[in-house]
Amino acid sequence: MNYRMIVNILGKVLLAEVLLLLLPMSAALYYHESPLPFLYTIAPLAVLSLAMIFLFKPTHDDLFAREGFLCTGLAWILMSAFGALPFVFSGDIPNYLNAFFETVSGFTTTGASILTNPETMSRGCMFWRLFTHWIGGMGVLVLIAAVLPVSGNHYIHIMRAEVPGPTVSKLVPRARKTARILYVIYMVLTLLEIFFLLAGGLGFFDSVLHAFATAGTGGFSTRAASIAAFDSVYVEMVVSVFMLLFGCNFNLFFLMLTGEILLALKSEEFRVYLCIVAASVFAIAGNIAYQVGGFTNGLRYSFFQVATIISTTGFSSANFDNWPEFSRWILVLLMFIGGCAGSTGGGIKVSRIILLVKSYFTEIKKLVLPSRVKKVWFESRPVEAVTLRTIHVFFSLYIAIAFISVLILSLDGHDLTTNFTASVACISNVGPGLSGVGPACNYLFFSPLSKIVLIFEMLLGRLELFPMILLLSPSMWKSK
Amino acid sequence: MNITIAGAGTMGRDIAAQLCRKGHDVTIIDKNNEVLNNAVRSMDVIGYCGNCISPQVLKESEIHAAKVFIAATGSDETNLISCLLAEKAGAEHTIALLRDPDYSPDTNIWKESLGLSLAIHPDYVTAEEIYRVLQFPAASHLEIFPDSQLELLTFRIPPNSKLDNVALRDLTKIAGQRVLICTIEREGTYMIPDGTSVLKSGDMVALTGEPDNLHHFFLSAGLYKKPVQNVLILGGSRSAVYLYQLLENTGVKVTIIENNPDRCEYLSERLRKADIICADGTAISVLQENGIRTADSFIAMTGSDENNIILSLYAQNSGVSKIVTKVKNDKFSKLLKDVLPESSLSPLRLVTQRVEGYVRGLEHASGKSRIEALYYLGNQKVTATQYLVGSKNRCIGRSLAEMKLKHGVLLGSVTRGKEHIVPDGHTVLMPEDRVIIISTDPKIHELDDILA
Repeated sequence: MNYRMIVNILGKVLLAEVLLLLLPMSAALYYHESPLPFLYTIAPLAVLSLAMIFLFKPTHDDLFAREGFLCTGLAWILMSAFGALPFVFSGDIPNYLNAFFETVSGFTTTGASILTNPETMSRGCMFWRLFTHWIGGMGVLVLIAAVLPVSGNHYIHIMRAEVPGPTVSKLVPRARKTARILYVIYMVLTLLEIFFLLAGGLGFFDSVLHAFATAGTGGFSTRAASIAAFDSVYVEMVVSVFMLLFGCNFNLFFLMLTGEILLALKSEEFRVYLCIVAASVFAIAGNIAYQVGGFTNGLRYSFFQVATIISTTGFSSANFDNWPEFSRWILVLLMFIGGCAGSTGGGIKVSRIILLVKSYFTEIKKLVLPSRVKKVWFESRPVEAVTLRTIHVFFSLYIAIAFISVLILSLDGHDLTTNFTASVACISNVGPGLSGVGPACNYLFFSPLSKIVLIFEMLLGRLELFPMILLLSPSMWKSK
Repeated sequence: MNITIAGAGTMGRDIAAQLCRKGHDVTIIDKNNEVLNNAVRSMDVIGYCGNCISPQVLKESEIHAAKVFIAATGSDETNLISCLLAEKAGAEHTIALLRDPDYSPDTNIWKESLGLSLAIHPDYVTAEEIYRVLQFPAASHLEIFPDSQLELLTFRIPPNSKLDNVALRDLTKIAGQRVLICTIEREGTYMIPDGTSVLKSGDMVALTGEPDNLHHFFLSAGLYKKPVQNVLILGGSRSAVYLYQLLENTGVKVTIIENNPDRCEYLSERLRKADIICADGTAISVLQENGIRTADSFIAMTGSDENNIILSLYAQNSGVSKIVTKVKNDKFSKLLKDVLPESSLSPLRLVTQRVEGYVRGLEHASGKSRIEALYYLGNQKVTATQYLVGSKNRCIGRSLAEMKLKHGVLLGSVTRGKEHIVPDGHTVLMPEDRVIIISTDPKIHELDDILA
């Protein structure tokens, strides 16, 4: 194992965090707040990261899949561990575990909060809290790959571990250029949303931060009541549309940019994604119509809520915990599904669900006609058996982890709905669940053990299980 | 620049890896998904699964944006057709690998009628390299720079030679002629020497100079060997046929041992003057019977690397003075260097070198230097490159003493018109000069990059 290289890359990750922390610090200065909480974090972190970079010059640049996974897993833990410090220093979240929970929730774009009253938070910290969504959405290692002049072939291993989806499809031959294109699309979309929110009369601070939270499909808000606090149909619609956009595969935007709009619209995953959204919106709208005063109002709330849950953002425009069981269960199912591969969303991903369903049909037909040879097709291509196998493993692991975590959460003695939806909302990076963790509540009441389990689930979900699981597996650490 | 390579076999992968290392954007097409995945996993390239003669696949791989298309599949016909299609679809330059001698390297008809920019015959390239070494057996490898006609050769300093423990600045006293030592390889590491570097026996040394000077250098160093007269070739491969054709009119006696009777029949129809022996060349008695003791050179080029290596060692033991070993798998060449008789050559490396030379020749900007030829010295990281100096290069008009060169860069020679200059501190570069740069730095793309 190339430890020097790993330490070196981790050093670069922390240095990137230092630079990113300068932004909330300037926000603090701009709003006449003390920059000290940030300075106290930045100074030691800068020293540490520079030491890691300069004392651990790699002797060779071999980097394989296991190093890529290890690097990614450690990078996310370290980033969150240091990213939590400003909250502690500023006194906004005095308890370190709570601050760590909040930061992991930010970076993994979950949006599960332990804050009861976010309005009292200092503006610098609030900026940092929502900015972590933006950073975590596309991934910090992808950012480093895009910015740093690195030679060698190894960044593909890191991108593979950080970019969500069953397979990494590069847009262009170079991993680095691919990373750049992704970030440019990401930034342009974010700027567009800021513009639309400003046009809707939202303040600058709220526009920028909510755009960050939407872009990363995070779900933190500056208000306790989330988007509902603005009580504006326009804001809800803008945010909904952008949430759905950020839940799409970014490759589609690239295809559109290169003029292949038809090709992009033909994408199977995109169509199924839209179908799921449309079906859920109408089902929920009909179901809640009598409760919210008419079908049109129902559409307004259900559209927002479906968009926010399937993209795994987790804003709320209404307290959906009070909705009928049918609607609540649709939302839980959407939590599992999540966004498209190659988006900033979490969950199992639409493409995996499509492949799972297709392979069920194929297998069932095979029982009837055992000698039939038939491949599963996806996006007009036959799918390799290996890909399907990985997806089945991923799916069963995902479900297993979500359920087994409930076992530990149950120790706290809360009801099943609370525990189950908390577990699903965290592993799928959604944020709010139902009952005790519903949109009007938060995660503060969980015991420290439960919080650690949830933190781990959030990281598992964001990095698509394997990097974090490998971090715990002994075979990973045996030197080779 | 965008480069598309069809075929992710050994050749395709090696070419892709080298071009990728040089910063090009490489796309690979291969029919076999597994082979393709192996390539894509190990390199920063993009892969398309499909047949490279399908216009659909070519279109999908964005062939219209490719500056160079390289067809390196196992089939000549596939290579030719895909090049044709790629050119029609907008690839600017097409390179095809051709193996069958019927697509003869002597005629340009394939190149012209199909619009190829370059046709590489791996077996012919191999035969040519062997031929040059047989003409000058003191060298392990010998390349000729086009236009300047300078030669680049490598040789190993034998034990107890006159050159042992000689500092480079004293070299002229011993060997007289002015030649330039480009690199010294000692125990697997390459260094670019200066005047104070000392030669040791066992070093693998690369030299450039004019042919006559090199000849005299080896004479006075006591290392000269006469051109070979009696060649024993093991394995009647395509390269053997090409090698025979090159040697045909030089009066050299050629014996080829091949154990496939049909192949022997074919060879005897083609190679009139050669002795074709139909026998198993891995049997020592066969080698002895066919004169391994009297032959002054032995060339092992069967399809099996293992046989080639073992039999070369045997030939060395039997006292054959010049041995050439063909090694397909270049991966172990580092290990083999210590064991093998001095000339081992890999067709893979020769082909990649040819492709890289061509591709890098395309990337010059107007008024800037252009790469005319490129050779690997030992491994693919140490290169000797001939540049044609452009009129806008920053390094012209300044003497070498004023220029500060990067570490790991050596200015080997300057050719102005027909005159060769061994560079010293007073040499001033002019446009249209041909310069040979030896470098271990992978980031040198242009002549001006040598400046620190």
